[in-house]
Amino acid sequence: MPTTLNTLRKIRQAVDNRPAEIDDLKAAGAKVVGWINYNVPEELILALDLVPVRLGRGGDDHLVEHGSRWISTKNCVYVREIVGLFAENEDPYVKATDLVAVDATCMQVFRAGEVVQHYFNKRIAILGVPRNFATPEGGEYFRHELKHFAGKLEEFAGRKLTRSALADAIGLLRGIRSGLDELYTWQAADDALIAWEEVLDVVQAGNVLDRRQYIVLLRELLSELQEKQATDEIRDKFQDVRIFISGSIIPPGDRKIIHILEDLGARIVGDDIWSGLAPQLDVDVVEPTVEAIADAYLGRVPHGALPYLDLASDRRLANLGKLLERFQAHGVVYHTLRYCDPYTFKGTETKTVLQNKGIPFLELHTEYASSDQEAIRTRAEAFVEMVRNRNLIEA
Amino acid sequence: MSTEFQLENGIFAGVDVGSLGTKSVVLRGTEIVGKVIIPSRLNSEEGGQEALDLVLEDAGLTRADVDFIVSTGYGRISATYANKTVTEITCHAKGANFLHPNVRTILDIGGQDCKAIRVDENGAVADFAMNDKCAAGTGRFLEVMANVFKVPLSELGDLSLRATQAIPMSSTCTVFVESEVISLLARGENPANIIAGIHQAIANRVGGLFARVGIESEVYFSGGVAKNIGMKRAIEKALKVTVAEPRFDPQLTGALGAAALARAFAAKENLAREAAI
Amino acid sequence: MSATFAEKPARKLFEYPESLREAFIRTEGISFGNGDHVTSAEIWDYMTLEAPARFPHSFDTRPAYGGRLSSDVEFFSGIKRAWFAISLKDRALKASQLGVPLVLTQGGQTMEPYYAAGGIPLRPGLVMQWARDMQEGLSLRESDARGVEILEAGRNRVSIDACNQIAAHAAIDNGVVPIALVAPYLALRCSDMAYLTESHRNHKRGIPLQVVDFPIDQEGKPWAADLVASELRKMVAKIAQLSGKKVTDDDLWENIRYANTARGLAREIHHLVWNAPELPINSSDLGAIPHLANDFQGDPVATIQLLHQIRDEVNARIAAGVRGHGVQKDPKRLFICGSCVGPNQHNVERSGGYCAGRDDSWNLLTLEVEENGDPYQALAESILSYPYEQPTEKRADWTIQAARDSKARGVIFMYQWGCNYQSGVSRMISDIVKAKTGLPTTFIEVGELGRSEATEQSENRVEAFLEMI
Repeated sequence: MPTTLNTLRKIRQAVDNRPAEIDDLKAAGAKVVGWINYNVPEELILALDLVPVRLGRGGDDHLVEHGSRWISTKNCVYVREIVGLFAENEDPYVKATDLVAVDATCMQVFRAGEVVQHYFNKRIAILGVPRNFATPEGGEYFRHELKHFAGKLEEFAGRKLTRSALADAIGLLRGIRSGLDELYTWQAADDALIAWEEVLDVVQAGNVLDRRQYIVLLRELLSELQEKQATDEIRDKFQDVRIFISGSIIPPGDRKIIHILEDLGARIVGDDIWSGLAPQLDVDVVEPTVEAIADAYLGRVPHGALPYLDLASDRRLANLGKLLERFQAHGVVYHTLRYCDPYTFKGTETKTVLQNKGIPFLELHTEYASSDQEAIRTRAEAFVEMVRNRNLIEA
Repeated sequence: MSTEFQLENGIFAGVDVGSLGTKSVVLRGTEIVGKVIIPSRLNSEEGGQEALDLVLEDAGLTRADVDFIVSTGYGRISATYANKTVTEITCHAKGANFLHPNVRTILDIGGQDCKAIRVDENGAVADFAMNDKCAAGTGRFLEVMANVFKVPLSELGDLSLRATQAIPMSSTCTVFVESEVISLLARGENPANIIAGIHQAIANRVGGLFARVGIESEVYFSGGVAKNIGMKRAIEKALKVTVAEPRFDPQLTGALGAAALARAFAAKENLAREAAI
Repeated sequence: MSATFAEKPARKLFEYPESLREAFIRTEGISFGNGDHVTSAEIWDYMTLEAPARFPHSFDTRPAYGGRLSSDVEFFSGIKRAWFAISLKDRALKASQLGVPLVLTQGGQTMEPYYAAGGIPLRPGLVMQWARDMQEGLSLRESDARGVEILEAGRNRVSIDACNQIAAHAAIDNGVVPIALVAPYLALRCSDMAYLTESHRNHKRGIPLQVVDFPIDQEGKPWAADLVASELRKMVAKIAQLSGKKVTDDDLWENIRYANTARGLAREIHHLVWNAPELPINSSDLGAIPHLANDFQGDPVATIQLLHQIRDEVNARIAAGVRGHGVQKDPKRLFICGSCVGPNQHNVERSGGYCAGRDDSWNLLTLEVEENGDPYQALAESILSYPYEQPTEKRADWTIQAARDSKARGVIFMYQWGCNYQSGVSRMISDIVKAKTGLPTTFIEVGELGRSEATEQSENRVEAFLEMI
């Protein structure tokens, strides 16, 4: 996708260069922690001078097929592709990973960790996550669990965590998260210079880039947006349907739904997916300690895989409502991967909640194979037609 | 011509290129003056053109007479003859509303998918849900089943009505159902009972779609499968609704809706032209 | 299709031969914890007159029906066990009408705290069957159809990607069965239990919900046991609120002792059977024992009595060299892994096999709760030591030991369509067992949880596996 933003080009270049950089770092003795799932705190990895990489890709049916041989066809495609990545061992980040850190937020991802450890001889460190995450007992458990996990990282790194290193790492990631949050505001403007998909690419570039380099690039991007926005140049205002994406993960490499919606003239203006905006919100680490990090992570926007038994006080849904207002969305596309039970089982419920707020909702239940491209397109197109009609928007 | 005149006397065509059949309807104002159904061709563009030519012939008209053409169905993406393409969901909604203005719920079981649609009083889509991947319940599936039982597709519904007891069948996967059917036939089960079970399984899946959008009697049943009396009864029983008696070939609903939308789009364009003058 | 099709004549239902009655009614009856006593004569009348009329599907004899009654009619304690299972519905309903809260649990967990708090725990499988039986007089096909109706209601409300156990949740949602609380342990056996429990939260019926967490990677972590202990306390308090019982530590200890006793008896029976020169009871009778011992099926006192009777009768059979009815000479023993589903035991025996055990239920019998200290802590530690719930490589090693103990000649891992969690390690466990023991292993996906029709696809695979051994 061509862009007028120089920093975006720099970020893409940095991503292209990153595998070679990591090879150099490893040659100089650095160790790479590849992590999967939602609640592995990068603060700990960075504070120990380890190189964090968030692993996992999507959209490649061949890798899904390969992964299915080791795990099961009854696991979601994202999980199967994770296993496929390890099975093929061609992904530069998988190859570079010295320790795979897996948390137990989504249990299927945890299973992938077990399979990867057994079949592909990867060293694994596991972090338990309490299902009853909002209770004091759950919080207490997670503090202990994270301390234990930190101990495993320390052993791996060959050094101990220090308060100052933690403070640095916490500050760095806080800066990154708030920068990304700001970027989301930029992309939602009527005459935005940056599209939501480009922002998602920037978020996901942050999965692999050196975090210190990344925050510099992020700030540069925000400055560039500020400068260009301030010019007198007349820009077209976007007129068509504004769509918010919710539901299952959309990892790097999976852009099927996004491209279908954009081809239809709809505009994606926000998301609360766990590979996009959600992880950037509400992580409030109050002091440079492992316990404070534990509390902050349990306090963030909850992942759908952590069950929550009271609808009225569900923070994930409350956050969804807030974001819909923030981004002035006309409708929600709830994207679910087949066998992603945490999000699929909540589809009808989420629809009802949003319907009560007058927000149209479409669930697109899909996989990575392209065989349902037209079927998905028909559903998306009908939804866009419906929302246009409802909002009297011209295509 | 004035918009008013056009609305009353203009010629509007709808072409619905489906996976099994290609359908076309022509309106003069609000009067249906031509209709055709042909088996879908491998080349959907050619099939659409052919259906359009045949329907105009049926109406005693030529291409030059047509004011606006809307194409729908999965083959709409290669319909160069059309002025506009619209999804079959929107077209079925419009078509059902054209025929039954009081109906608010539409069920369409087509060749490769099934849809539950809620409409407002103007025939605009208020909500919809479509079948999930692999769930049993499409026209194509019934065609395969007809082959297994070695009966014409048109007789499958009647056969199901002769059942003494519907055998509970899987509804999660078409392939599972097929293998269950073969097992049951091997065990000497009454084919009518098996077919009734299949209809019931499809009705269950349909019930699932309506659970997401809500349902209100009477239900308009469109698409080729609507001609299957066994399916109609199974839907009425499973969903506890009445299916409206069709006033027109249900398989042509999408094409009719496309033609009605063609009329609306033409009027809008005309109005815009009048405003610009 | 021109020929008219003749309806097949209705199949004759299973009957216990009248010639056995005299001998049966001379055996011990069963006493319950509340002081009730049922004589063997009453049990006989129930199983020959009342139950066949009320629940004819339970007495269906078609070969494809995996839930068929055991053909070993001379194994009298087996008849009593079958009575105990079928009569659970009436007992549960009566208890519910008297204010005892019925609680939905997971399939792979133990039950002490539920009884201690004055409730009766029921697994999803029991609730699914009970839901069908709320309408009496159904044939097998009619019962299946009713089950499918309930299942579809669940799928329609939540998702068609859900495994069939959603039927239990649908039955609760729709008020088909009077469950007062949904409170499972989130044992790792099932990753969906959390979301199915969650799915009740938007329902108008407002059933109270509670989950007891199961922390993963739990070995050597006292904070994991602390978490589970605190959540058990909360759950007991919740049930006590509903039952009105003032629960003390002694109540929990009493039920822990019952459970330890039941588990000990069940283990003893299994080892007797596995090591006997002739297998004294068939797969159906053996397979029912873990469910009995793990669940208590409504009454711990009655359960323990029954287990004693089973143990004594098994001993007598071994001494007399009796082989279980339906079991062939030197059958190929299978150990079954996975959860919730298993092969049709009658078909396995007909094909020269024998179902020697299932990991999901057997593993619960192999642990004891330490009877000292704080009972909640003791329970938590035992829960976290479920062999089935250990890291998969460790679980596989335990499976190997279980296969050896049961003298299995093959291991089959089975999982239900829609199961994400067990399916994910089906290959891994099969591979580890095969690599370390050389035993033939396979893994099979089936669709029959809660259904009895059209199981030929699964049975073919099991039969072919047996032929291969």
